[in-house]
This record gives sequence, C-alpha cells and structure tokens, in this order.
Amino acid sequence: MSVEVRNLTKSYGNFTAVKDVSLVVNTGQLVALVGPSGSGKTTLLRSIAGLEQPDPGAGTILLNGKDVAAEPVGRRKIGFVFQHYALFKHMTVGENVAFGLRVRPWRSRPSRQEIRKIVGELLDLVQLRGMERRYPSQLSGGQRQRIALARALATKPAVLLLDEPFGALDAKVRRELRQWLRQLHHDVGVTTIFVTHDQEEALEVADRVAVMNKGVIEQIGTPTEVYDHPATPFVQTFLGTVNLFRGRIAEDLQKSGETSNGRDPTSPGKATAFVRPHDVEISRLANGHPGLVGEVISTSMTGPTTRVYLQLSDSRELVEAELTRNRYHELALKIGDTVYVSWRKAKVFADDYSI
Amino acid sequence: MATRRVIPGFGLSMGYTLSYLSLIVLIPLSALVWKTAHLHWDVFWSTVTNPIVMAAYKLSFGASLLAAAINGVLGLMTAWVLVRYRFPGRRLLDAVIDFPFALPTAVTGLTFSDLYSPHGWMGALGDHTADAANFLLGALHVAYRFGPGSFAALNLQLANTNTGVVVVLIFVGLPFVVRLVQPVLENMDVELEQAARSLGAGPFTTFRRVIFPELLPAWLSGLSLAFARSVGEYGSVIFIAGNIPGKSQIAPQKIIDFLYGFEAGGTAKATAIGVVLLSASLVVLVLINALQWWARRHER
Repeated sequence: MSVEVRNLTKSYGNFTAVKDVSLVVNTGQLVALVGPSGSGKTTLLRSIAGLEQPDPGAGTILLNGKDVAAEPVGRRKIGFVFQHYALFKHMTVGENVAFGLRVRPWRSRPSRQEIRKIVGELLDLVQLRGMERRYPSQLSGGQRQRIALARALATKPAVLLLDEPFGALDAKVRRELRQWLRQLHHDVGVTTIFVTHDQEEALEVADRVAVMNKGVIEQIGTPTEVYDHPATPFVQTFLGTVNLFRGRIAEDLQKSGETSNGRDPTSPGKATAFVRPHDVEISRLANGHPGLVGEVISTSMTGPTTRVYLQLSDSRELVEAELTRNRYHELALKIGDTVYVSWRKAKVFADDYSI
Repeated sequence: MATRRVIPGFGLSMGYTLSYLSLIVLIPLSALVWKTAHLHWDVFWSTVTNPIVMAAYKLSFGASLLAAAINGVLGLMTAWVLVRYRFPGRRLLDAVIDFPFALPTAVTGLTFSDLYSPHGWMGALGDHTADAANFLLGALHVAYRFGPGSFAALNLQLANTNTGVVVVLIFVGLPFVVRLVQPVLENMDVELEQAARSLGAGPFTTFRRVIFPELLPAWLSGLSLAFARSVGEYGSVIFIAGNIPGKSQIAPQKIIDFLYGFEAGGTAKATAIGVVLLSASLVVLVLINALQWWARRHER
C-alpha cells in the first residue's frame, strides 16, 4: 500500500511541529525519516498512523490513494511499533502477539488453532520461537522490540510504522537489528516508514531517506543521493561530521556546487566549503597546490581509522581529518607538527544559507 | 555480609524492626488470643456462635463487603476522572478524597445519622422537595399544591437501617481505592493504550484487556484495605446502625456489650469475638493477597 502525505501541518499551541510537509512512499518501500529531536519526524509518523490529528484543514493523508482523515488508528491497516516497545506486561509473549487477532469481532476472528499457528510463524520470523510462554519482563530489550514488531505484523498491516525502534537499545544490538530489519523488510515486503535520529541507521537501512529539520523535509532521496549530493548545508552537516572552510570562492564553483581540491579561492562572493573528514588530505610537503597550513593538535584511534585534529594557522579554525591507519603511520604525525591540508572533495554553499 | 548496603548494620536495623513490630503489632495480637484461651472451649463456642453474635457478623461482614465492592467501582471511576481529565476544581476534589481519613469517626457518624434521620436533609428530602415545589408554584401564582406525601419516595430515612451502615462504610472506605489506583494510573504509559488501539481494539476492549489488568494489583490492595477498615469500624457506624440485637447490631458493638458487662461473661467473651473478627479479616486478606500474587505473576 502506498502512503501519501499532502501539505500536512500540525501544531501544538504556538509551536508548529510539522510545516506543510508532503511525502510519497511507494508500495513496498522502506523509508527513513531522519532528523534531530524536535524536527517533527515522530509527529509526522504519528499523524500517518492516526495517533495525532493534523491541524483542521491542514493536510491530507492518503493510504493507497484513499483519504483516511475519518478513519481511526485501528482501521487504517497500519502496524505501529513504539520506541519503548509498549508490550502488555501482564500478557505472555504469545498473548501479546495474538492480541490484534483476538480483539477482532468474532465473525472475522481466526480460530484458536489458526491464531496459534500465526503466532508460531511470526515468532519464527522474529527468531524467537519457543518464547510463547515467557513474559516481556523476562526478555532483553532487543527481544522485546522484536516481539513488538511481531505483534504489529500479526494483523497483516499494509503499512508498518516504526518510531525510533532501536532508540532504547545498546550500540551492538542496534547494529544487529538494523541488518535484521533490512532482511525482514526484504522477506515480508511491507511498506515501511521508520523514524530515527541516527543518520548512520537511516543511511544503512532505508531505500530512501527523508531528512527533516524544524518541521520540514529538507531533502528526500536514496542514501547515496542525500549523502553525496546534499541539497542544503543542514543535510550536509546532519549526515556526518564536516569541516567548514569559509572564504571566497570562484563563481563557477559556487554554481556547480562542487570542487575537487583546495585551490585558493580568488573570485568575489563569500561561501563555505563543507568537507567530510575522510576527504581531508594531509601532507608533509607542499605538493604544488597552495594548500592550507595547520598544526596537529591531537590524534585518536577509532578502530580502522585514525582521527587527526588540526588547527589552521591563518584562521585558527579546527579541522578534523580521518586517515586510514596506513596513511597515518606513513605520515608519522606527532602533536605540534606543521602540515599541509587540502581536500579531495568538497561541497560548496554560498553564504546566504544558514544552518 | 559480602555486599555493601546503603544503610549499614543489618543486624541492628533488623533487630530494631522486629522489636518494634512485636511491641506494636505482635504482642497485642497474641494477648488477644491468650486472653481468649482462658475461656473453656464450650463457652467460647457458644459465645461466638450465639445467634445474636452471628447476626452481628453477618451485618459487619456483609456491609463491609458490599461497601468495598461499591467503592471498587466508584473509587476506580474517581481515580480515572482525577488522573485523565483536567477541569476547574480538580485539585480541590483531589484534596476532598482524603476527608474520610481526616474526619474523626464520631463526627462522621453524627453527620450521617443526622443527615439521614427523619428530619435531616436527606431523610426528609422528599418533604423538602414538596415544600420547595409548592413555594415555586406560589411564586408563579399557580393554585395547585403538592400534598405532604407526594415525594415520600425521596425521603432517604436511612438512620437506624443496615443500608445506612453500608452508606457510611462507603464513605469511610472511599480514599483507599482512589489513593492506591491513582498513582498506578498516573504512571501508566499512554503508549499501551495507543498500541492496543492501533491493533484494532475498541475502547472497552482496551480498558478490559490492557488498562484494568495493569491496575488490578493496586485495585485489589485498595479493596482489601477498605474492607479491613470497614469490618472494624465502630465510631462512624454506631450512630447510624439500628443496634437492635439480632437484626441491626454490628459486631464491634457486641465486643463493647461484653466488655462493659451489659451481658454476663466479661472481657474474655469480648476477646473471643475479637479473635473471630481477626481471623476472618486475616482469611480475606490472605485471599486477596493470593489474588494479587496471581495478578503480578508476570513480574516474576
């Protein structure tokens, strides 16, 4: 089932959480709504579910092309997964998963055997077979969230909505569950929208990523599109660490928005170059390019790469560079060394943008 | 002790707790049983199974059970309204709930017996209604007048009746259910309800299968406390109870009767009834605790 949001606005008192947002999610897609807290992503998700009502007259939500304004949450054929699981503590795992089937009016309710069979299949799907008789309090966080997912899937929803599904879990479990969610989506094929504040999670899991800020969608596209071709400085900064080089830049570079090295900007028009740490290059010698000069402030090892923090000698600004371990050893950098800084790739935005 | 505790001295604190508990609770209770043990078995048995005493148990336990049951419903509704809705005067209403705790029982008793006496506001409600209606008719220059007995059905003359006893016990027990259910309801995650609704459950099903089970342990505690309090209630009930032996006499009144020698037998007989009341309350509390244990099975 496709999901379409048209010009949705939702405010709480004076605060507008979502401003005139439109979004189309095609059948079977896995879309991530990503943004900092307060960017309106959860409000948008809850509005699609029917857990929040849009401002009167401000926006339409279409599920499979049909306006669902009058449909309560229980009739929208959606499955909703909450950040803190919202499992029913007094029910066993099996009862939790079966809940959506058992509360149906008796005419459309499956028989006991059928329910047991469906519960078994769902527990297989979330890899928790044999846990039927346990209570949620006896499960780990990751297991609880998988039960919550199984419970949401039991009613065969046409759209699955997940609100920060891995937000309450520790880093390792999060990473495992991301992969697992991706696989699950592949197997089940249900249209899925999930909310996260973790850009890495969004890029890794989703087919398409919608980056939200201050109640609007700044950009929507595939992970590669939004990461490599950010539409706004916000998207660029939000989707990973960036270094900002302020200065004057050639007008042609401004227009193209791309630059390939650290040429000294000469043309009028102030602009900022955004450079990812892994695109920063450090060399011992001036290699022909008139690069910037900086001093090594500190270094830190983060698994496969090493971070080097530099201070530019003219602007006194700090720069973060990410080097492979080989390159780092090759350079044999020590704190206090003077080095030349350039970049392989940058994204330039004229300064009328504000972040 | 291998693990370090926040408060040191397990031995000291445990010893203190035990001696305190003995002094306040265990010694008086054993004294009660000990005193009763002085009675010959036959005397004990005839005292506690005397038809008049039996009728008193029936009234005390019956009225207490009924009042606790009504409080279970009313208290749950009150707690729900206080937690889920915001309205002017909510804080005042919230404070009023504690009134039955704060009011001296004799004051409660006097107030209720007066209100429901044949001349009280409630006892003569029908007569007052007729008077007020006639006054209005006079002011509107209508010739018709209601006769004196027109609204007799509204005369709630509950003084000296067993219904009156139940009414007073509802008043006395109300805070227990409200105060125990309220915090649980306040801390309950609204997402549980939203999850149930998103899975297709209607409002009633959501309440019955999701909300109420969460409240059940606290609700049962409230019920059992209200019941226990009601069984032993004397001051507030004695004025409104009819006090006719074998008909409308409450069990604590029988204890007083024996104690002050209105009947031969004295203190030991009084304690015998006390022991029966105590055991019965104990049985009810144990039953409710077992029920709670079952309701909390998911927490183990």
